[in-house]
Amino acid sequence: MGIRGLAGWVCAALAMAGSGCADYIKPVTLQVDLQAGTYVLANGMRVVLQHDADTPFVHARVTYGVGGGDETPDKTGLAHLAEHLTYRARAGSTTIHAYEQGITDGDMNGETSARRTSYHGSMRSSQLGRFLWAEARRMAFPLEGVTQTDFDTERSVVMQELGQNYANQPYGFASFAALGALFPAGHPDRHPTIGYIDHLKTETLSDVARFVGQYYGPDNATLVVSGNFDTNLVVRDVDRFFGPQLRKHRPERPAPPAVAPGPRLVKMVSGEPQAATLLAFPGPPEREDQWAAMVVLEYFLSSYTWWGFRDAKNLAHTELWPLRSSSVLFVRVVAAPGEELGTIDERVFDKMEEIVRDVRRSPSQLANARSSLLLEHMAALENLSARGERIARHMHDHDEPDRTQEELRALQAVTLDDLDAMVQRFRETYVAVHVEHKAGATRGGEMVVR
Amino acid sequence: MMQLPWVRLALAVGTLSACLEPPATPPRSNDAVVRRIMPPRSRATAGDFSALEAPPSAYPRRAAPGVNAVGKVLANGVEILVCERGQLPFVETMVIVDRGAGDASGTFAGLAAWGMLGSSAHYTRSETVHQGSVIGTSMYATMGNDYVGLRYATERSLFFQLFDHALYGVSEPELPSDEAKRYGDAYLANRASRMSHPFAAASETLVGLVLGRDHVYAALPRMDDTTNANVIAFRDQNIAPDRIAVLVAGQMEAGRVFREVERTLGSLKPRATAPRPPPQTPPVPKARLYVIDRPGSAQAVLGIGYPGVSALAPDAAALRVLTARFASGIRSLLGHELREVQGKTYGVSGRAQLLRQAGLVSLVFATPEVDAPAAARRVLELVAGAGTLLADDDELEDARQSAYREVLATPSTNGEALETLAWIRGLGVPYDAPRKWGAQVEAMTPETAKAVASRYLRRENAQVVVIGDRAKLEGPLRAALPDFEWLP
Repeated sequence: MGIRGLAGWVCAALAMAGSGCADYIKPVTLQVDLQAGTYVLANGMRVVLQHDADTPFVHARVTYGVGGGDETPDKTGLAHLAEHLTYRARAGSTTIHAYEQGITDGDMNGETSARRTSYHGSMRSSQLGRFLWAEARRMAFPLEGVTQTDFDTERSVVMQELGQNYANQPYGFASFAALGALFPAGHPDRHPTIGYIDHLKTETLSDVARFVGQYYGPDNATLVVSGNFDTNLVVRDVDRFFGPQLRKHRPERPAPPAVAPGPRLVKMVSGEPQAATLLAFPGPPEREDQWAAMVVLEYFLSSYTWWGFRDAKNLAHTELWPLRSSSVLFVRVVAAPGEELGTIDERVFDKMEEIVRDVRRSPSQLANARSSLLLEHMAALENLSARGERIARHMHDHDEPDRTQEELRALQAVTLDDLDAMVQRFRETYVAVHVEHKAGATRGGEMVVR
Repeated sequence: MMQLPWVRLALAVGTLSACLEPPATPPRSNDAVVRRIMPPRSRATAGDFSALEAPPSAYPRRAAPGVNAVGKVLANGVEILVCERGQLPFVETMVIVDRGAGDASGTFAGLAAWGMLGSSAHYTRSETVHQGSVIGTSMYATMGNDYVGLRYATERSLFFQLFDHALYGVSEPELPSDEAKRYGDAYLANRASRMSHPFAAASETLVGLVLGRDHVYAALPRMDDTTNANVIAFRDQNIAPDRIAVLVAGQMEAGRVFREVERTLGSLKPRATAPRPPPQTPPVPKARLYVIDRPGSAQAVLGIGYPGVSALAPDAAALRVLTARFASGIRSLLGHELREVQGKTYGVSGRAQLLRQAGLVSLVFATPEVDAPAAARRVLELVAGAGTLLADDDELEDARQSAYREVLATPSTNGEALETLAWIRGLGVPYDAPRKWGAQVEAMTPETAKAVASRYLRRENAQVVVIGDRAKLEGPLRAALPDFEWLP
């Protein structure tokens, strides 16, 4: 058995929340042990094996500690572009992509964030050797055989991705403007991982090669294998395929410049028929315990704003983005015709105050919210892919494969004071992006801040 | 308690796909102590990449215990299906009623879902957080065309405390004063939000174009009819014990669930409900082109749809296999051509929607507006030639595996197990349908592919919707697709 989960009643948690065991439902403490094993190759690559005999499948991922936050301000989007482009590397006449897509009954993909780049797949256990081989090829020869035509085509794909997810989405570029206003020049979280359009247009294959050459080495990588596999075979092939890989010695990351507090207002225009406001609230990075308070606040806010604004015929939406050295909680509200955007901003803060008041009046709300989040956090471990992603994140942030229990504890420890303090801090540090309608402007919006 | 062999069959189909691989070897004893891994004695030489010259052969297949479910039908007709599984201490529950939007006239579509959610959420609200939240995870309703459900997950020791809440919506006849209106408005707000995104708008528009705007799957509910009285009337006409199924997956003993459902729903009196309307076979449409004007678009979003079949139809399995081959992932025919070769899109989303009464095949993708006419023309050409796909064994095998993965894979989470059970029970497919489905997939040949493609993927029935700047798109699109009727 690869995971053990336990649960028990805890009245102490209720007492802490100022309530009693007479409440309708008591919160529970959940304990999870992934029973993962780790070792490190001589070249610095970390390996985590997490066995689960209950499934015929296995999930594997190679995660590099590089992302959009490692780019220079004048060449954004390189990490993501590199992730795309390495799929076109060739072994003989066949691309890595074709090899991995040829894994029948597999589900292969790659993803890039501000902090990490992952190549991963879920497959039948019999296919694991081919995946390990393909990923080792990618590490050893990340751009072998990639031509200028490949580069141009893949850059075009990335531009279409940018269009699909931002430029052609309602108010899609408002988040770009918010990041630009929240963080000072030179800050790793100032730009979006997908990059700016004008940078993508001018970047070259050499730029990507230089970037890959710095970061895509074994000493900056973690291999996670989770599911049903033969340990002896995996250990053997990891040594054969990844053991010969050469270190890359990634550059030292400079400390990010300080973020100047103070609310800011940014204005932009969009072709969307209605105006909207996007409020951006900066918070701690995902690896810190205070992140849990952001998660709890977002949990409340998503419901309070959605219902609260819906009754007034506004559409509201919240998102929580983990970044390289911080995080941002976004709240977007679409205005009703003729409505002042500044008034909506104040109503968002009113909702935050309302959450704090409600929790003060009825502390069991906080206990229940924490319990819901605890369960969601734990239940995600059922999914092999989500489990692998979490193990990789824990390894990169803490050099431990399983911090689930610590994360559950941090969620359980969030107090009313934490929420109150966060709301007060948000008042001093937020950025509001006001997007007004302008005929002829693009739907995603025209950026006014970079 | 009675064992329902069909459930065992249904969930064991994953084993069928596993049989396509070499025989399994038993797990090795070292797996149990994987935590105590010692760094291996490496035989690797830095910089010697000779092991990377050619891919390795497949590892022996690994065996895993199957996933089974057991069931019971109460005297009043309530059905219970329990899938005991998982290593984590939580349970996921879904209460479904096999009546959905497709069983109601347009004005009443979805009322059952709102009634269930509204009444259950109201009952839990005073003791818990707020709308729809319960300890564990959010309780939410799924409003399907063929069934509605109320779903939530909880830590296992809380399971029975919350059970009454989940059942309240199907067992209590009353609603709080404003609940139906509140949830009706919420539906409208959700829909408005969804439709502001061009991909969702293209998908939804295709349903209306392919099946007809008046088809029950395409008709939009009128919210002014969403009153408590109408919700209750819908419930009285459609919800009866023999329409209810309680589905449970996770760490929970089936016997305890049976006893609890017997206690809570066993006393519901059987009563006659209106029969499900017979499937409305939609007329086959002529090729049509419809442009939704969206000035300021950075791309054109294209949706291309074809009439498909019901999940109950003999061609359902073959159509899904074929769709997976030409439009599922980057390696598919369309993904390869439009993304990998041309770089004109981030990806083509394709699927065969197999519902109870009807079905359709839909493709949606975004591309630069200037390229939209050529892309539409090329996709139509490629799909028209889809019958010649699957000509070799590898292609056929890839397509089969994709189909297995989509529908028949062994559930690896409680949620996946529930979805499989809900699909069987909610659509009313025969209990042994998944097993037969698997056999049909297995028996598919290149000739089957050709025959199915020629029956359904016909250019003369294709429906094209394009969302973008009409002023830029209209002329070039009409020139590129001269045989398509233009819908103003």
